[in-house]
Amino acid sequence: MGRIDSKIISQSASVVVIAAATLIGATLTIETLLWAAPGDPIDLLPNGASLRPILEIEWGLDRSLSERWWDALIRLSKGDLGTSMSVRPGLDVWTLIAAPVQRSLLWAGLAMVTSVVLGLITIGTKGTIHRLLHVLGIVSIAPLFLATHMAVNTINDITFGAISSGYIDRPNFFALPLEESLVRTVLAIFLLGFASGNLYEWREEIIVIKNRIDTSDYVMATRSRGLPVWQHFLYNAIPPLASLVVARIPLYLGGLVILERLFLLEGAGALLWNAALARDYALASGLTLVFASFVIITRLIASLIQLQINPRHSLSHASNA
Amino acid sequence: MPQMRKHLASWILIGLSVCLAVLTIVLEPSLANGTDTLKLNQPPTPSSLLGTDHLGRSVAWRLCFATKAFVFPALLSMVVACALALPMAALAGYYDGWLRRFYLAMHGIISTIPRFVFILLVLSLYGATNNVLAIAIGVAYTPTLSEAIFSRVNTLRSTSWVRAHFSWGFSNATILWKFIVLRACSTTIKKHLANIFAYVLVVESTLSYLGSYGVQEPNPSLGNMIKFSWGYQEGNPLAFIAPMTLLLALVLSAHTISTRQKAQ
Repeated sequence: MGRIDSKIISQSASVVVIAAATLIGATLTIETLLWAAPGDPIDLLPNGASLRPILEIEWGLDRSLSERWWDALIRLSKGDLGTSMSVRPGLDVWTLIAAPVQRSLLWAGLAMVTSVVLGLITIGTKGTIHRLLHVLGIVSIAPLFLATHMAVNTINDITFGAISSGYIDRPNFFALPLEESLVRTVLAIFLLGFASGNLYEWREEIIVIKNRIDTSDYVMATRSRGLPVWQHFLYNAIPPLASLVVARIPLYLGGLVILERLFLLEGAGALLWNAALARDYALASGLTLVFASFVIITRLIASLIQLQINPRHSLSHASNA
Repeated sequence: MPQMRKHLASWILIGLSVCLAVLTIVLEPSLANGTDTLKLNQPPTPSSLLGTDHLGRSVAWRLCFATKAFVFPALLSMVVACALALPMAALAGYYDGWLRRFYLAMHGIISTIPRFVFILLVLSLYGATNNVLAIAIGVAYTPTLSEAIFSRVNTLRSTSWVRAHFSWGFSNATILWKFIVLRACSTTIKKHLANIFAYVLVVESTLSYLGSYGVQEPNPSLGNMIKFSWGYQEGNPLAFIAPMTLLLALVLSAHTISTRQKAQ
């Protein structure tokens, strides 16, 4: 099962090469979008008209697309995402986004774990509880902003009613103040894991995976011998779950933008929203590239896990994971 | 039978929203945007079926005009996604060679960028208009649609009935487009068109709710109707319940249609 042979090594190397090529492709795609956009960052400066001849040369805006592609690849190899023009003008984008990106990726990961746990909880239920959880799964299809809006306003209305009636004193989380709050963060993570169809999709997929493994020959044979089957479940569930993680991680990253804006969390999503509004091209494109890189890395890890667990997993499947 | 009724109800609701959107082309915008300070937060009456909101505007008329915000962008997104995804995915799935490798590479690249992030970037670069939003959503959804078509065509190309059609003298182009894409893949295409409709509805509502992008006040959108009505529920709760219910109903309808197509 864990034996590493030359075929696995060569396939793993191929997967890494494909991931690197995909990252280069994503960089060039984003650069093409920037090149094709009407106007440029100089338009945003108050004295842009007078500085245009100098800034065009300095920022490389007078170059052809192929030259800009080459510059983008050189900067990518150095980890240079450019400088921000709006948040703190002149500050290196990577320095600006490093901490928010770490926070956002942690929240996205926790939200995904929440979805998986909630999905797993529904597997073992039967009867009325199963039907109730099915209805809950349907309700989870509600758009993320709507679920957030209803949750926040309901909590606020109930809390305000309790405060007005004298039952409780004003709690720290009431009306979601601007200071950091664990309640806000936890609520945001829960909503990201629950709403926008995340719970529903995870639940349906986990049920499909469970049924497929449950009715497989090796599990039935193991069960008939009276041996525990959980190892078989776990071992055979990991590859499809890894594929599911890869498929759904972009949705969680997109949902983060909405949640961080609504909950006033200081993450990469809120930074991206503000950068897009301010048309800070370097910051917005830098964050987009970081998100794309994270998806590529997740795919790479999932492919390597699948290759390790199932050495018969072909290269075409690994590259399409 | 209950499934059939749900499916029928879903189609009726979506059809109704499309008809309302088309109807608003010939109606006066003042029906939705006209304020009346003497009729703030009025409950439903025979002349105003859902009452008025905090600015005295008719909630029913605003709901009608709100359909325009997502129906036409949804139709444009469907056209863009189909135009981009169908030809390349069908050809890559049917033929081997450089086209398949090129398609797999492009699919791998475009699908790494989260959809909402891509849409935000495009809106920032190209302007926050409804047409740009629709095109951005269409392009963002292309990898999903193309992957489904590619898989289906790739599976079907080696089936016996395709070989039989080939031996009967049908050309590869006819087999691919007429038999495989238009007939055998029609269920898959319908499922994804329903998903695109729901996605445009959700994204447009989200952007107008968050502000700055999407349809902004005073023009109605389900998102901004929900945002601006919640705090004014004293007097007419329908001002936020109605758009919220319509939004959920449309999302569930699209989900029902998509799920049924998947089951077929």
